[in-house]
Amino acid sequence: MEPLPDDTKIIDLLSKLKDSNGAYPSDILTSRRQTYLRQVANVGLGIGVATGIKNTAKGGNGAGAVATVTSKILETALIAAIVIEAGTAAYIYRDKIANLIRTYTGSPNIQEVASPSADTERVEITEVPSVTVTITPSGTVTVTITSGTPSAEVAGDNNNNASSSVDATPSPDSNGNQYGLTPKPVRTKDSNNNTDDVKNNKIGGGNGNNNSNNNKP
Amino acid sequence: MIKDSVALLKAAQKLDEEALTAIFDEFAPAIYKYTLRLCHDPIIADNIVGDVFAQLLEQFAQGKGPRTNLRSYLYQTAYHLVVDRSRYNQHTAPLEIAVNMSGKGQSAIPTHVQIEERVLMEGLVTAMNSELTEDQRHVVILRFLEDFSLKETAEIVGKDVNNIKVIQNRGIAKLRKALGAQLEDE
Repeated sequence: MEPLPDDTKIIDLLSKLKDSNGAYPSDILTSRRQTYLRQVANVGLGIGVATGIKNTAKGGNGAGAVATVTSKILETALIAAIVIEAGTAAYIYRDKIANLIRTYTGSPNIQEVASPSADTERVEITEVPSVTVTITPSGTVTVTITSGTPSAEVAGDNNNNASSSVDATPSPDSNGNQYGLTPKPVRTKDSNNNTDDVKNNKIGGGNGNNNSNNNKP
Repeated sequence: MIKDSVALLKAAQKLDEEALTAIFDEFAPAIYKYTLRLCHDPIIADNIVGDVFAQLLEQFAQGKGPRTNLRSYLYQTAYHLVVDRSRYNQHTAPLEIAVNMSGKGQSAIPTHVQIEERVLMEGLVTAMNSELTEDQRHVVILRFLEDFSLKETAEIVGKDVNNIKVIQNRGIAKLRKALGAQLEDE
């Protein structure tokens, strides 16, 4: 679309208007440039530019420097207050915080409960390490029973080797079933003191007129 | 001194102080003039210039910002800030822009031709402020006062290139109609 001749004139006029005044006043430009350079330095230091934007929006002239210093002081004070408040709150509620952390991070506790018998067994095993070695003197022990009961005879040699002797029949003094070693009843009424009758009564096959026979059912 | 615009932009993206300063020195006066044409208030124009470059720094600090056309990006930012400030609708433009057209080489006493041209310029500025819509005025400023291409203008305004052509032609037609009598006299 070709422009009309009048359009060309208007475009020429607009081009002249381009060179018209409207230049940046030098003092304002210098102030703005200094503010910008401070922002560049802050960006280099890692400080956000948001504060700079606010300062720029507030005052474009020389007031920006004062506002920047004030805002930095306020920002520092606010950060310090926040840190102190957070620390105090954490100290006051430290128990709750610890419980909360345990609740979120800790795994369920499994408590092992051992039976008392197992403990005692373990304790007995560990507490009795001693070993008793008994050395029996050598010799020959002969037990002779006159009533005809079989006798056990255990003989050991004279060496120091540990030898254990086991009696087939325990000694009369010991308790227990002592078959064949029961003391013989003493018949006091019988003057004959016949050992054969006594023997027969004990066996149960006698024919005499003694009391023992009368007492039987 | 970094002269290449691409190298300048890359250095600025790395927050090079020299590059950032060079960008300000190169574009701040033009952005000020452009903003002043839109909002007609030197103080607001100065504040917007500060905001434009502060936003540019923030974008660079975040690893963002323009990758190719820095100039178009700065004008676009300035335009958005002007719109945000809601000053764009004020058409109380001082005519000093056109009145103070006298150059340094001109004599103190204007000639007849210079007076006619000055009157014509005043009429042009008045027609721009009163006859054109916001879009038409903005497109005319960007196309003929700031020398942006159609594509760049479309990017700044946020419209299609064909739409920009239509807006431009309608704006020029309105200016021609408003200045018709004066142009015929000339």
